[in-house]
Amino acid sequence: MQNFIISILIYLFISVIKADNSIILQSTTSLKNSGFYDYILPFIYKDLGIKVNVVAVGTGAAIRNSMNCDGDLLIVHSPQQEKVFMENGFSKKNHYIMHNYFVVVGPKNDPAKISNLNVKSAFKKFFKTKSFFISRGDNSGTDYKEKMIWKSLNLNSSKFSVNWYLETGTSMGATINTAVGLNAYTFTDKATWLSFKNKLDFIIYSDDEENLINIYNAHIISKKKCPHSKYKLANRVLSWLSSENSKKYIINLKNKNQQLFYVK
Amino acid sequence: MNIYWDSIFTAINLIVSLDKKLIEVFFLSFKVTIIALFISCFIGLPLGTFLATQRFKGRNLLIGIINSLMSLPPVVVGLFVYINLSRSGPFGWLGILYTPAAMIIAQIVLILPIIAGLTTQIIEDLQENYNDLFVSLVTPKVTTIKAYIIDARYSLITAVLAGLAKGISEVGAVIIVGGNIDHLTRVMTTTITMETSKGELSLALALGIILLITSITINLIVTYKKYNLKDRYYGN
Amino acid sequence: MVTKKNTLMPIKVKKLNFEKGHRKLLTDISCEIKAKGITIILGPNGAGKTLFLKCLHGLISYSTSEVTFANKTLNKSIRKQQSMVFQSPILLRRSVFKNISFALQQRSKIINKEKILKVLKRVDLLNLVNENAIFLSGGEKQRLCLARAIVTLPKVLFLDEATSNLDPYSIQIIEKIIKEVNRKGTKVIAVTHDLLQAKRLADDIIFINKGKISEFTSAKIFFSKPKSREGKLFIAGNLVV
Repeated sequence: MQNFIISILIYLFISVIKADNSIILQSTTSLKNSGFYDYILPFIYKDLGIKVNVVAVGTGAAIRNSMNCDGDLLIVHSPQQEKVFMENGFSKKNHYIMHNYFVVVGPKNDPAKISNLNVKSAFKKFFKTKSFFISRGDNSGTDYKEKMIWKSLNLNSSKFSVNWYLETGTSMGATINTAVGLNAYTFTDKATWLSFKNKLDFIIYSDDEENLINIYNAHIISKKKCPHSKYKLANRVLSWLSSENSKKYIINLKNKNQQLFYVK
Repeated sequence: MNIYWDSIFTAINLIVSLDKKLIEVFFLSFKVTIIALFISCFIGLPLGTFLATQRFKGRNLLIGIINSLMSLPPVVVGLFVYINLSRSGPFGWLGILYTPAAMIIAQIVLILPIIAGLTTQIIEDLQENYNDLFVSLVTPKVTTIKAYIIDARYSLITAVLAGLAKGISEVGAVIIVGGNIDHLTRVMTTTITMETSKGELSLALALGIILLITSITINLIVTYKKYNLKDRYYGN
Repeated sequence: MVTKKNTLMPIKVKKLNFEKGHRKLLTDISCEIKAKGITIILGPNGAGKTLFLKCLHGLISYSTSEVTFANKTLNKSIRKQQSMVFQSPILLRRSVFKNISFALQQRSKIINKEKILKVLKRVDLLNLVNENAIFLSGGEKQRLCLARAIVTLPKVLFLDEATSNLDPYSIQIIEKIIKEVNRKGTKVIAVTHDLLQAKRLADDIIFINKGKISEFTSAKIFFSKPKSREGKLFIAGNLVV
């Protein structure tokens, strides 16, 4: 009995001290769910010997966690929210890693008749026809982007909430599941969509538009704000990610022959 | 429905092929919950017995609080533990956020009220019967508490199983304080959540089936043993 | 045989009152119980006999009175030299042996196995030593309780209707042991409403009715010519409660 207790204490102790050559990366879910980290992290470990522990949450939550100093590196995709983060002094600079595009997805029979429309016209059509639209509503990068589109059309999305505009307040995947279940349209990043499995008859509308660009930026959590952050290790991982060498890896990541991410 | 068959085949396939990832998250799930359960029992059984057998000021209040804590949503517990273990929080210096240790702590916060609360209810019945004897023998408090726990051991198994069920099935707390990090803090429930959000519904359901089978097995074994031993030692 | 002086005697009770809600259950009980012999507390149901016994043993706290043992107020170390057998047997859900050893443990660090087996032989439970106490019959349970009470060699042994509803064999064993331990110097104070048993055992009788002591005399006098009217009626079986 006593031995058992002691071994538990030892176990706890080990799990406390074991995080030596590793960093915590606060990240948006889309990169994890698309398989990006599963693909890229082994290369980082091979080259640098650094274990990157990914905590995947929405952009809003990732930024909040980082502001609590619970991360060493941050990768998100919401320029406006990142700006606030930098203004608060938690990061000096946003480092471009890669990009892809946001897309509108919906059922193949296209109840709102939006095929061949650009994204803004499609959104207007949703509004006019009151077609079911599922929004993240979780303060994530994708959610932010979608809200910006409504705003640019002078439409206040919170006004038509409930009727035909539904906010799930959950992750991208759960939101797509809801959209599929309700035969509704939704707005998603392309990487998540391409690697998503429960698509049924859903297809992409409004694709590869320049104003739908989705940029993934990395931030090193400021040493000044967070003295405990593993600044040096995070820096090494970041320079690896922005190197020419890693760009080759990134553009090679494919799902069913479709490229998930692009680099400039 | 096709997805049921899909999930059942996926589940069988995962088990038969001894899928490495499955084994990893499966054992981490049990490691975390068993350790949390053990520590919760270590504190909760004596605490519950103490509350059941001793009369002091504020006792009813304390029992009321513990019973209410039983219904605490795991997400709230997760958030509470996160705030405390965060590097900007009071226990940030421990550096255990996003490790199994943090998950164990969160599960203790979840399980402890269940163990203590149910123990109080179970021991209270016994207390009415035993109290005069212990007063008559002038038994020291610690000995009394030990004796109650030993004598109610087969009934207390129910409380322990309830704790186990809560720990093994919850996702809200461990996903916040563990972060669902691959190879480090990914457990069965967080994997199910993740696979669901990837749209891998049949895989998620398959993992659920495996979790269910394990729970049923444990419960059946323990319940069978319990009644077997109870018959042998308690009669009726 | 030389018996040692019983260091807890005499027991003095001064104006013991006990109320529950607005009901007065014990009123102004005062008495002095001597070291010698077996004292039987007699009385009809609901008279307050068990309550009085529990007050003597310190199971129930009271504030208005003083109970002294050899002129010392009741405290833990005095209570450790007493034992009690309850009306309905209270046994741990363990083996017969462990039930005895548990009690013995509370008094001394060392558990003497011989001692336990010896006391179990006295109450004729030697063949059930490893049986769980739960499985014993009513008579066996109460014998076990008695064995547990006497194994610690108490100075005072309280019995609360210990033989009600038991078979004649168990009653016979229990009464025999009560007499034996009393002869060896243990003061026995027993509650009963069984007149025949009182006649068999008692040296003194405390007769309680409606929470008051009606009579406290030697057994001989009580059974031949009781002084109180209630006593007379009780013996005749006519006391209306």
